[in-house]
Amino acid sequence: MTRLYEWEAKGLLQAHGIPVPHGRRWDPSAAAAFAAGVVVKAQTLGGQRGLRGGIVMTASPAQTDSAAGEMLGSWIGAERVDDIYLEERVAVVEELYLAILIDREAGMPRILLGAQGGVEVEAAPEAVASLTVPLDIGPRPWVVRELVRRAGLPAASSETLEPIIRAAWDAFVDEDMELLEINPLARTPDGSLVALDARVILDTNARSRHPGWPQGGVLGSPFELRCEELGAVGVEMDGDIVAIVSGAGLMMATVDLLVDRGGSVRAAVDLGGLVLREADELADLVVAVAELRPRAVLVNAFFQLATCDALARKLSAGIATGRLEVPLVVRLRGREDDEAERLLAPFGVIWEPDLERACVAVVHAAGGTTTGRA
Amino acid sequence: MGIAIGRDDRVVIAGITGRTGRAAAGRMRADGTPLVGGVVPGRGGQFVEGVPVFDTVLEARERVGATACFISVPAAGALDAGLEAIDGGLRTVVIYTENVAQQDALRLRDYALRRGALLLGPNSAGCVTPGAANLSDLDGRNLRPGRIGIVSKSGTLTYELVDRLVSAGEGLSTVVCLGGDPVVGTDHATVLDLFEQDPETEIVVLLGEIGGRSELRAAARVDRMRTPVVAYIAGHHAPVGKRMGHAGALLASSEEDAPTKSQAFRDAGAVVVTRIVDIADAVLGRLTVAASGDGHPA
Repeated sequence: MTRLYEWEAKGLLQAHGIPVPHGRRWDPSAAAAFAAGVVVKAQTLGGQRGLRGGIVMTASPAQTDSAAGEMLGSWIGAERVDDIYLEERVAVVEELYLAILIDREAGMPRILLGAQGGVEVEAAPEAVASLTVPLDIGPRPWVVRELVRRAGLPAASSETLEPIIRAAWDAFVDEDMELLEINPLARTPDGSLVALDARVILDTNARSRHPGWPQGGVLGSPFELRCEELGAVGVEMDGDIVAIVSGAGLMMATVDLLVDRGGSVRAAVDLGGLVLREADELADLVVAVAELRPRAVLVNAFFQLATCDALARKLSAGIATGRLEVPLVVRLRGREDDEAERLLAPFGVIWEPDLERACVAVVHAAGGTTTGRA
Repeated sequence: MGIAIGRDDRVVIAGITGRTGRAAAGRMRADGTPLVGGVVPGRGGQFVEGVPVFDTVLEARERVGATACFISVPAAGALDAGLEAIDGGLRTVVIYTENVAQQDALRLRDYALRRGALLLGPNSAGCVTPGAANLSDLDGRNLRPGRIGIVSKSGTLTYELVDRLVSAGEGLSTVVCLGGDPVVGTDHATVLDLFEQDPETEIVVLLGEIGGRSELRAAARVDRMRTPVVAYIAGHHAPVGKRMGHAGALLASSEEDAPTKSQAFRDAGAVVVTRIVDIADAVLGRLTVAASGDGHPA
């Protein structure tokens, strides 16, 4: 799930033949490149930039520089603005909405078209028309005609929309996108269409076949981003206990059980394939967990292929950093679990092979109650 | 006996010369799975774990009668390996590989549907009919044949459940893991239909999770089934908008949350638990009811 900044997304769309306004990233000489005022746009990955002061219209290069100066270093939500994009102002007579995403249930892409773009879309998402389109069919002329009909647009719009929808489709497929959203897709006084804003999410799993992809970024808390760096998946919440678990399904079930037993969760971590690797990312993960200042930590793993002693060795390296100063409950099941217990014994961990008892133990250790079922 | 994979299948491993593939071959040889070969382009003529390696799936089918394939190739090669296995007419195709691109998964799903192959994955822990054939990463030494069918998205949750059922003295007809990605080849409902037709399976445990509508489609099947279903949906306390480890486990719509899915199963007459540790008791309890004659609704 790699999110692109607006300037990156527009570069990619332009390369696929979708018209975008003339623009450039801000630097001290950039404002002078525009004769008049511009739209000054903070480059952030999260939404609602416009409502939070991240989009400003200016009337002169001097105003542009002062607006950009104010915006740089400011915060929009949890993101600091480090980059600004300047764009020519475009006269607009109509704002449409166009998006393509993957419909997991239908097993094919879905094209969305709305007669009312801009912020109206979030107010009334049901007004947006959509059609699933098989990958090997694509937006044939009838697909566009039907979208136009469902969106309540005049039939004549098909003619100008078809090349844009086709280009958007090609960009979506060729670039392995998970989401392409052009909102608004603006009609200018001469009748042509231009992408005024663009949101793109690339499928990170396809990065290896796209050496030319923009860098983009990932949304998440510092802890979640650190987990991703280490090859795990972290989910930060606001409770007391951190649960480090050997897989996604068991992680969700462990969180369910902790809350059922009266605990609350500070974060959950899916180790994924991390335990199978040679490197010692697990020790770094323990340090990252300690920095969350949880009241207690639970390690819960049930292995079929990996061995428990390998995890215990890496875990003890993490404990040996001395950074984790709260109780650690360890529940390991699978091959070599006896050896794992022996290895961890000197470290003062609470060893509990039964899942429910391990959850009760960590809730107790965190100072919580166990008011759940007996 | 069992579904998806059985004693009469002839199994090949795509990527058998890699680390994961070689380990899978060793496990299959150890637990009696009818492993007949591997497929690795350019490695035809070699042997791994005593079975021959072929250059193509069709060659493996002609020479050793391959009917099922376990794919453990790197993510960039999963699309080709999967399409080749489906194109080769194999009945069951497990894509064990994780981090496969979503549009690759769409193409794989499409082609499997068109050719009538049972595609599990990408990112599937596989399927196993204990005592017959093991196309999964479950350790065969922890399994026992029996009357309980399992369909699940998650591998790790399945290990936990299998351990609890086997410890309680029960056994398994077939275990089917669908995979944790947003787009996978087979949904829960399809597997329920297979279990319903299977004389060995007396009860089905369905493990689901937040995100997507696969569980909701399955719930719509349950009230028409003679085979009782016990369901657990993981993620009752998952925060909105975060991917819970599985790329597919993202809570986007309230219809896709754990309470809503659980209620759909309750409404359809399934036994629903909200804690993984309660499943074994629920299964044994339901089997007792079935044995006393009240089990099958008319």
